[in-house]
Amino acid sequence: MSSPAEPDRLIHPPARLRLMTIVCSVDEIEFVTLRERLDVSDSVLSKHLTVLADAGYVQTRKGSHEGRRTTWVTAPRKGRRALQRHVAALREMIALVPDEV
Amino acid sequence: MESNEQVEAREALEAVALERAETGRRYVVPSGYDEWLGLAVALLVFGIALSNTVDGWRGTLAIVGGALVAAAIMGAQVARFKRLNGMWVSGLIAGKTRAVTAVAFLAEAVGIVAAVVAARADLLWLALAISLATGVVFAWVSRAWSRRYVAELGA
Repeated sequence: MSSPAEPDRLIHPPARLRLMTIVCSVDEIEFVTLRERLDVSDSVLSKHLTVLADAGYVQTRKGSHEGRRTTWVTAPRKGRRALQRHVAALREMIALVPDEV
Repeated sequence: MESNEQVEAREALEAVALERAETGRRYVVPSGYDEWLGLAVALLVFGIALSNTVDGWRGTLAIVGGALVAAAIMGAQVARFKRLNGMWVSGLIAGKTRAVTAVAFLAEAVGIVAAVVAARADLLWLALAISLATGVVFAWVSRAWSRRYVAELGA
């Protein structure tokens, strides 16, 4: 029997899972919109993005929105696949039948 | 009985589903968005058809002019969409919506071929009618794409 897939530790924290879910649902999302969705501060979101960007799960680019400078966030293929694998691992965990005692 | 890990996993999956559904709820299509995209496609198709009926710089002007105007319209609509939603979703995003995108590209390709054939037969009125029809189909498919995208997020 094959061992169950391991959840991705980088995506596992609830805020990062929500972040990755949102970013992977669109092509790109603006920083402030993402911050409002997650209800976190600029610095907290920046830290999450830095961790995920270092892993290659998200990419950021400078742009504009409503006439002001802002950052746009996107998930490259690596990030989208990581989220898919993580969700599959979670589903697998739920499907596992506990050993009978 | 579920283990703690299984309870956590279930809650995490529920959070994923809720977040996807919320993205769908927040998705707003600007007024006239699909119609403008349809017009852009119609201009593009007619420009290509027209370029087949005239020689030299006028042919180049028809195809480049049509493409530039179409690109300007599409760019303006994308900017409107981003301003309203704070995000962007192209037709190329992974998922079941890709089938709808394929229909849009196919309709455009068929429209271009048909309009060019009509133009080469000196039936410019027919080329124009085909271009407009292609634009209408594209607008309809674009609307269908949005419906499917939102439905997929909520599924």
